[in-house]
Amino acid sequence: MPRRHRSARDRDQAPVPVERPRGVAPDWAHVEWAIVRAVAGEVEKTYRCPGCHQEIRPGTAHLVVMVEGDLEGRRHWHTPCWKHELKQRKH
Amino acid sequence: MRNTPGGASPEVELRFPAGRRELSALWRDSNQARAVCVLAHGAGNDMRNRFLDGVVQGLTSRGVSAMRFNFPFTEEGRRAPDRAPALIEAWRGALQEAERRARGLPLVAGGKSLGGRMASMLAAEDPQGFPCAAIVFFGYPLHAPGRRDQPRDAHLSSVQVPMLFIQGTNDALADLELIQQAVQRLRPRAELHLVEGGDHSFRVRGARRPDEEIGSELGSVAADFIRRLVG
Repeated sequence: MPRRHRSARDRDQAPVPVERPRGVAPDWAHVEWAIVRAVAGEVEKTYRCPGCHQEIRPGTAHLVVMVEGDLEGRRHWHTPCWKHELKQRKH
Repeated sequence: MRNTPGGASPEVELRFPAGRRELSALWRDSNQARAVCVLAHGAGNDMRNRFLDGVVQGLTSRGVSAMRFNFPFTEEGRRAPDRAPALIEAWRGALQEAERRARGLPLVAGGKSLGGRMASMLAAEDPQGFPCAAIVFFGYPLHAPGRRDQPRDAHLSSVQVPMLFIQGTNDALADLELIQQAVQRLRPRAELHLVEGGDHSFRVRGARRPDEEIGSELGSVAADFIRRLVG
């Protein structure tokens, strides 16, 4: 049977990758020299975490960190990797 | 290592102690140097970045030798800056090293963003012991982005040396009106040099100017300020 022509209405009903609401990062994740926010993870996009150099799989909740002076550089971190990175800081 | 014309020697690598740690630095002599400027990088990169390459060029081509150094976090390849005490300790060590090498020339502290702010914290903490004749801020981070209500300038009134604020007029970390007011309150010790349209990295939208060129121009601005002070 020939495939039915796809109408605009069908496309509307298809699952659309929606960027989920931008979240507030947990208190421990905040530092004064960066903007940190929580994201749900995009449906199709994979990122590489600067902490462990492993992939952040699509749909994985994680953190987006913008360090001051590097504001164009938004980096996606696994939440535990960011926690570890902050623990490494010297006093 | 580069051999640069225009009155400067090649840059040499060195190591210096800072507390229990050892940190890296790059030193470049200027011919007929009148002062030495010690430079700290910002939170987003280490001492080997194109902007600071340019600043060093600008300084050393105008009679100011330059020493740039790494903070512990970049030295150890971490992304998150250390806490203030560790950064200030690094500054203390860098200034001691610079003093040993300066052959009596006056020192000036300079820093990109967080690096400059930490120099001012040291200067405010111990005004008598601060060994520099001035501080040059390359983009003072006056507030976090979007947080104009929480400025970080309270300690600056305790700084006893002249300060030059080099600021972009379109900086998310230093609202133009707020930085003008802050500098006004610190006069006559503080001066403001504005980069029209510049963001926190002094880039101007659409201008596509290499960071090294931007740095070199601002290094020259800093050198002129320093030479006015030290004669």
